[in-house]
Amino acid sequence: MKYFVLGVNHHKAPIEVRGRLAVSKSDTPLFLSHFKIQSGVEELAILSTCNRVEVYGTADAPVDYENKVRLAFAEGFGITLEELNPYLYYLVDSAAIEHGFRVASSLDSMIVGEPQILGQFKHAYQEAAQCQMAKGHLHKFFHRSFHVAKRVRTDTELAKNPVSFGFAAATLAKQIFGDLNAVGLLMIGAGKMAELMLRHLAELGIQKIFVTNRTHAKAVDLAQCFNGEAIPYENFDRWLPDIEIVLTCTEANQFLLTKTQVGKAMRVRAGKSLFVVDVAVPRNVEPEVNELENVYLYNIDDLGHIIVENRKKREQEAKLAEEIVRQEAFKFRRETLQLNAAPLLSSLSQKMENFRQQELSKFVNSKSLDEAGFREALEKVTHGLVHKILHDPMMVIKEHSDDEEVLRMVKELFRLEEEGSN
Amino acid sequence: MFSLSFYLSLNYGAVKALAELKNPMELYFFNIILILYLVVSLGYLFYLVFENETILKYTRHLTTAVLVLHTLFLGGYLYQTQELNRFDPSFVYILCAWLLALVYSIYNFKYKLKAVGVLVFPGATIFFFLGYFNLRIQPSPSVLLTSPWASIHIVLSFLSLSVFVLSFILAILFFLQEFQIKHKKFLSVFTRLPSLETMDIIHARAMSAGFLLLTLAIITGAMWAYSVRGVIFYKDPRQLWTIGAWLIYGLFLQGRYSAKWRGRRGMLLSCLGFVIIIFTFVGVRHS
Repeated sequence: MKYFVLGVNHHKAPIEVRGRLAVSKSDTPLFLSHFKIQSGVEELAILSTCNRVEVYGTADAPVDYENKVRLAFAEGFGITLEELNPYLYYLVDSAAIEHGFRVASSLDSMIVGEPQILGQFKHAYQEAAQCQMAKGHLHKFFHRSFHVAKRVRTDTELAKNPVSFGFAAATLAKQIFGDLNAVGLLMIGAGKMAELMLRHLAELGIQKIFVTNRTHAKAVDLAQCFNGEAIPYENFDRWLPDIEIVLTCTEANQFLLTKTQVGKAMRVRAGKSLFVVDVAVPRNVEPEVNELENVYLYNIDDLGHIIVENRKKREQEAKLAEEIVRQEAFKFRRETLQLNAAPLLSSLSQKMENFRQQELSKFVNSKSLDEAGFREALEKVTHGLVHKILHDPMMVIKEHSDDEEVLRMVKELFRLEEEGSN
Repeated sequence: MFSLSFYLSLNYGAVKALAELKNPMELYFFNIILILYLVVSLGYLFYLVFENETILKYTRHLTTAVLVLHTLFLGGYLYQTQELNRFDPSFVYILCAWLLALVYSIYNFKYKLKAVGVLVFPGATIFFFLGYFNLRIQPSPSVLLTSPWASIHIVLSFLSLSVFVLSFILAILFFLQEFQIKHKKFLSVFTRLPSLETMDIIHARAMSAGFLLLTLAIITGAMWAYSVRGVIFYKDPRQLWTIGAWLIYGLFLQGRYSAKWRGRRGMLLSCLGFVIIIFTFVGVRHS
């Protein structure tokens, strides 16, 4: 039994193509059963994210199934195979295993090291298991993928350093305040960037969120998304003593927060730390604010420097992670092959055991127990045993004496070359 | 600190000779605890350098193990001696080491202090090590130490010292972490240290406890002076320096809880107080 993977991802397929291939959670069982019928593959799982759609499966000879699997994939999305083929990849055996491990470990992601992919990978397995399509082999493959992803996460620093503005700000907030449940946040601005930044910080458990914007209606909409409260734009600084984090992201041409304003608020705040993140261009916060005691100001350039440094670190860590994935894929493939050979090894052992038992019974039945008779009986038994063991292989060799491959295999099997050379 | 350098300068032969004087079972127990303290110290150091969560996990388990063994050792020691009414330096050192490990473990359970142990456990190891050496030093025959106030005063003084050691360590780590955040220059230890807020809270609590212990130490010291010399205050330089440190710690607590001083300002006062306390312990002698 060998593994295969068929799919498209962000490396080759543009977003327009990927957008047409998404499979929602509710459609997954239907898609999998359709795929099973069309391709004839028994074990299947589908991974569908913004950046990739991949089908993982097992087959005795995946190469024979390639055309059927490609066709089933295209039909499943109502797209012609000709249209889809340039973006599709089909990997089998060790390449498929290594690819799966790389995907689960976030080495194949658009942002290398991002943590969401492992959750999506687990979800793909759960869906397949619920549809009774992740049985023995696929079950083993997915569980090993989770193990590899965990190992990469533990043994390397691939995911430790933030590489997005939101993640970088969230990491800094955690290192200043620790538990963010009791922390208050003021968002100045209500655009797309503001929403993205807010989402990262809200995920860390911030409960108290205030939003302000020149257009109050936009502030109300954004506040509703995060169970926050919209406050008036004209006098938002009145809220400064009650919050710990300020995020600014507006298109204003002058400073919205000055050193004087923040200094005044800090006196009321009784020295509690204030973390100010200014991702606006031009800046919304006077740079001198950072000079105040217990105030930490980060603008878009500061966060940008952190991200650039962290990307370099991630690239270095990715090399280590790739090596781990290669080792694990090699190990897993070897185990799979050993598992495939298990029935053969078992029947071979049984056959040899039968020979032994037959010859042993002859020996036990022999009456002569004096030294000469014992030696004669032993000669007969061992001769009979060797004859029985070699009978079938010799017949096969004679039948295929013109087949170089068979002769090579026999030499390798009985290590005849090595002994000859010795 | 003088005693530390003195003890560390002893060679291995002397250590061995002294060890032979001890009960073998006690020595065996001691060695296990000492080795565990060293392993725990190294564990936190490795975590700080490599940020390996598995190392941290096992180091935490070992921390619990060493604390349990140390508690048993302390209990056994008290049971054996059954006499606290005299100055016993070994008991004081062993108690200080135990207190450092205990306070760290309690706060670690609540706040996940991560790499703070890298400074706390070497401190606890040194205290424990000194305690064992002092087991061989007979209690001083000085008449000054025959007063019942003497042992209480010395125990309280050392306990306050161990708590101030913890607060000093937190202050140093706070400066390091704060510098990184303020100046946007990050070292690899950045994510391995607790947050500024966590360090500020624990530091203030440790300072409160240390201040209370120091106050009690000063009161019992005065009682001791009265019982021996007939006066509470006799212009002893050590008394003066201790009161100076007590005033600085008092100023910190007043600022922290009334004027709400937080962050660097409070930490600076804490460090100043600690320098005076160490100077008082090491550099100033009773007149």
